[in-house]
Amino acid sequence: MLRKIIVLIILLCCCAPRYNLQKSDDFKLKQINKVEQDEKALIFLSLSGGGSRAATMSWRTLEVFKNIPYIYKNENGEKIKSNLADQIDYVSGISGGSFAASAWCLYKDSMNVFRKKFIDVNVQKKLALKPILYPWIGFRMIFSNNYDRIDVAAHYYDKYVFEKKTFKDLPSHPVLWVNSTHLALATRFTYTQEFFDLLNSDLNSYPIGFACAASSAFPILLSPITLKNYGKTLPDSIMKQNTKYRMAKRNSKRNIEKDFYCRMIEFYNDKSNKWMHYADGGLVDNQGLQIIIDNFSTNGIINKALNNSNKPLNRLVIINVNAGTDKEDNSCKKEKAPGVTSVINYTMTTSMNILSAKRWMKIKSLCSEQNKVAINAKKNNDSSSTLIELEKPYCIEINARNLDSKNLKQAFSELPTSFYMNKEQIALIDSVVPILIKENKDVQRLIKTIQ
Amino acid sequence: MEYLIVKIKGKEDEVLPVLIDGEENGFTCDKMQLDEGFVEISVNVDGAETKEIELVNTTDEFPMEVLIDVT
Repeated sequence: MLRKIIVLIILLCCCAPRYNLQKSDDFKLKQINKVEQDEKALIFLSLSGGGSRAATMSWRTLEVFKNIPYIYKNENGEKIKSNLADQIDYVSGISGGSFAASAWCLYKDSMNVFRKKFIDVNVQKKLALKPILYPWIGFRMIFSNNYDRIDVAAHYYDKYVFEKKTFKDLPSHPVLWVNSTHLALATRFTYTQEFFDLLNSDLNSYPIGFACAASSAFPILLSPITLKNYGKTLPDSIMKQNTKYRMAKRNSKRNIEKDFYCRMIEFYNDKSNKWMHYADGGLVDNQGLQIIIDNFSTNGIINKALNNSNKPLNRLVIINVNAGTDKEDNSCKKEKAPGVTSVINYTMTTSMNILSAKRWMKIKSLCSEQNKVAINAKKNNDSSSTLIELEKPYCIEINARNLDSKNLKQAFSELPTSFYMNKEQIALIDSVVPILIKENKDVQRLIKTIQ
Repeated sequence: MEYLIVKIKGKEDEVLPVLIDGEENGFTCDKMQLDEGFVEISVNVDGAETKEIELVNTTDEFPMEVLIDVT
């Protein structure tokens, strides 16, 4: 019997966690199928972190958007009836929001699936009980160096929330961006093939549940997710054949963001960094907004769309579902300084909320700049401008701070940040979101143009 | 943001896809918006020259104009 247990423990400890796979020689980019969409509109949705509160708020927003009609003319001039949710082109998710973002891409035609699999489930209880109910999981956590709490969570999400779906199972539209944080670089890592290219790895075979586990791996509570960095270190001469890298290097002294980009590329290229560790995306951006800002830069998706006179952009919509809460802080009413837990919370969450607010303001300012250029182009009938058809961009923030009702605002601020919401808490979010959408002036302005 | 118009030398009205840092982005004759700094410009056609320019101090009203030679 003892021998059997020892053999079992050795076997369990030898089972490596599921890493990303190396790109094969016949690797091909996933084929993008053309989908019937309003080609003159570009719609981004960012879903913030905040555990089940964020997942529920994000999901409810999508449910409401699904009931907002969106009518447009296709290339042949035919009138197409759709809805606002189905017209979203890019979904960016962080932590709790990454679950809703991924689920939207997989289950958008049967909205109840995600409620049953995630929102209505006490996920944190399930995760806590796993090592007790299934002792071999507990053994593996104790005796294996490469199996930790995060692996329990990742396998749970993979099996029970995303039915073992990998990135190859995602539809071409909308594009999913699950964001995490590279711990050593303190930079955003998005689960896209572009980032997996840095690891010389194939995203297609990677489980979506694992990506969400990384995106929600809140430090201390959960360990990071590790990815393998494959391939050989390339010499500088080969690296500089990449125009994007070479030009970023050229601009790195004047532009610190280009410098960060170069450092990141060089870090990934140094293949002695064989294991890359990723944690909660909220450590650098807890609203999933940075990727949208980056796409305003040269050769970003928004930049290319704004420069394209072949299909002039008519409508730019950026929707920020922010599940952040404004809790009353009493720490300065006491002489005693905050304890370790509070200090961790201040440094990881409170300061990040301020930075995220600034990111949102940056997006609004970038949109406002485009609007000014578009107004000038129309006024001067500027034939060289690509923005002649651009409507005033829509920056929509769905956040409880915008509620008119003080009681609702107070009730929302008391919602916990955890992977469990009780029925009353879910009902509160379900009732608050339609109000936020109805009270949002940019949503109302958008509705007037899409119906 | 900086503003740039790329044209083909000798065929100033010809419309071709522009290459910015090696990627297709916009078309010739259009006023494009790009980040400030050094940028590599070409057009996506055989025989087009590649130029590296410093894009700085432009405005919507006064964009930089760059001519690309195609042989």
